[in-house]
Amino acid sequence: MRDLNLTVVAARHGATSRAYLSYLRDAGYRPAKVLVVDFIGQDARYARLQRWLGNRVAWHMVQGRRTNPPQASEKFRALCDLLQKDAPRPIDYFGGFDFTMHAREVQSVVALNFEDPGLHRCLRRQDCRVFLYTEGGRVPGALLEDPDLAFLHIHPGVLPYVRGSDGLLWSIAVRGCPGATCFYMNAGIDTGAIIQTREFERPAFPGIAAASTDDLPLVYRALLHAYDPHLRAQLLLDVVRSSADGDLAKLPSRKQTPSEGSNYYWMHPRLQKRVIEALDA
Amino acid sequence: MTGTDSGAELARLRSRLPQPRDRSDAFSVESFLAGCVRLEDILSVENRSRLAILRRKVEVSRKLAVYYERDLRKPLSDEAADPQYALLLCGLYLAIADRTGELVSLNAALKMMDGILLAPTVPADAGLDKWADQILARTGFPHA
Repeated sequence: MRDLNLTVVAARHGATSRAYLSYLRDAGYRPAKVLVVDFIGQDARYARLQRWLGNRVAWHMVQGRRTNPPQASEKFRALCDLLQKDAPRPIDYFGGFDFTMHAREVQSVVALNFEDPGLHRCLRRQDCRVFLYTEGGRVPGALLEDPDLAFLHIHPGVLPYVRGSDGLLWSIAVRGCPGATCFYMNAGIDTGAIIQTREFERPAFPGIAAASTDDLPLVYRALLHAYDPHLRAQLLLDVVRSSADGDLAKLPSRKQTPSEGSNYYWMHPRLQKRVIEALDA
Repeated sequence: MTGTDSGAELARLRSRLPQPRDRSDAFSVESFLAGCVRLEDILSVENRSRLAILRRKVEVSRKLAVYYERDLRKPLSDEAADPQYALLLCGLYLAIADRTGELVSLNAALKMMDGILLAPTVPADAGLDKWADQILARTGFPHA
C-alpha cells in the first residue's frame, strides 16, 4: 500500500466517504488517517452543555455518542443498485463499513457540524493537516483561511462553469454530461484553486423515467447517494495518481477569477424530472 | 401543442399592473419591470444583466424588494414589490427561456411560481403554468 499525506474527514454513514475510501484502497492507496465524524446536527442537549460547562467540557461529554445509519427502503436500495450497475466497482452503501481497513489510523469524533469549535481543535491537532472534505455542511472561513490547513474537495461539476447546488443535474442539463472538479477549498462557494477536472460519459439508466414519475424525490436522493460518489471517487483517484511525489498539500492548481463561470442554485423538481428522464436510454 | 404567444402573455400580465412606485435615489424594480415591454428590450444585454441580478436576489434572499440601491447590491428597505410585478418577473423569465432556452431563467420562474418567495407572495396563474409546461416539454439537453 502507498501511504498518502491525507486525512479523510468521513461522515460515519456517508456514501461519498465510502466511495473515496473504497476506490483508494482498491488502487493501493492508504490515507494517513480517517477522522470518522458523527455529525449530530443542532442538538439541544449539547447546546445546554456548551452553555453550562463551556465548549471544551461539552465536547468531551458527547464524544461517546454514535449516529444511526439512515433508514433505506427496499425500493431505495434497488434504485441505488440500478444507479451503480455500470460503476467501476460497486460500493456497499448500507452495510457496515470497516474504516480500519482503509487508513493507517482511525479516530472517531462527534461534532454538531463544521462550525463546532471542538472539531476545529481536533482538526488543528492532526499530524496530517491536508483534509479531504466529504460532507458535513459548510466549512467556516476560520478553517479555510488557516494557512496550516488545506481542504481538498471534489465538486460534482466542472469548475468554473458549474458552481453551486445540484451540480450533477446542472452539468447534464447545460453541458450534456456529468463532471467533477477537485480543488482546494477557499471561503467562497466552489471558488478555490482548481487541481483537476473530468467529464464523464452521460449514463443511461433504463426505467428511471418511470421511477421518477412514481417517486421523484426518491430517485433524486438515490442519484446523489449511489451514482454521484462514483464520479467524485474516480476523479480523486486520478488526482492521487497524478501527484508524482504524493504530496497532496501542494498539487499544481490554477486560481479561478471571480468573473469566469456560472453559479447555479437548486433545481426545481419539474426541471429535475426532465433531466432525469433524459437519462432513461 | 399550440405554443403560448409570449408577447400576448406578457401583455396580459402587464394589463394588471398597478402604477409603479418610483424614487429618484433608487433602482425601482416596479419601474424597471414596467419598462420591459418588447421582447427585444427584455433580451438586451443591459436588461438581461439586471434580470440575472434580480434572479439571484429571488433565489438567494427569496425576497423581491421594491427598491434596491442603484447598483442593485442591497435592498433599500424591507418593502416588497407588488405581487403583480413579481408575476410579471416570472413571465419575463419564461419569455427568456422560451426564446433562448436558458434553463436558469426557467428554473427561477418555476421556483417563484411554486412559492419560493417569502415576499411578495406570487399569485397562482394558470396561463403561466401552462406556458412553463410547454417550455419544459420541449426542453432538450446537449449531448457531450
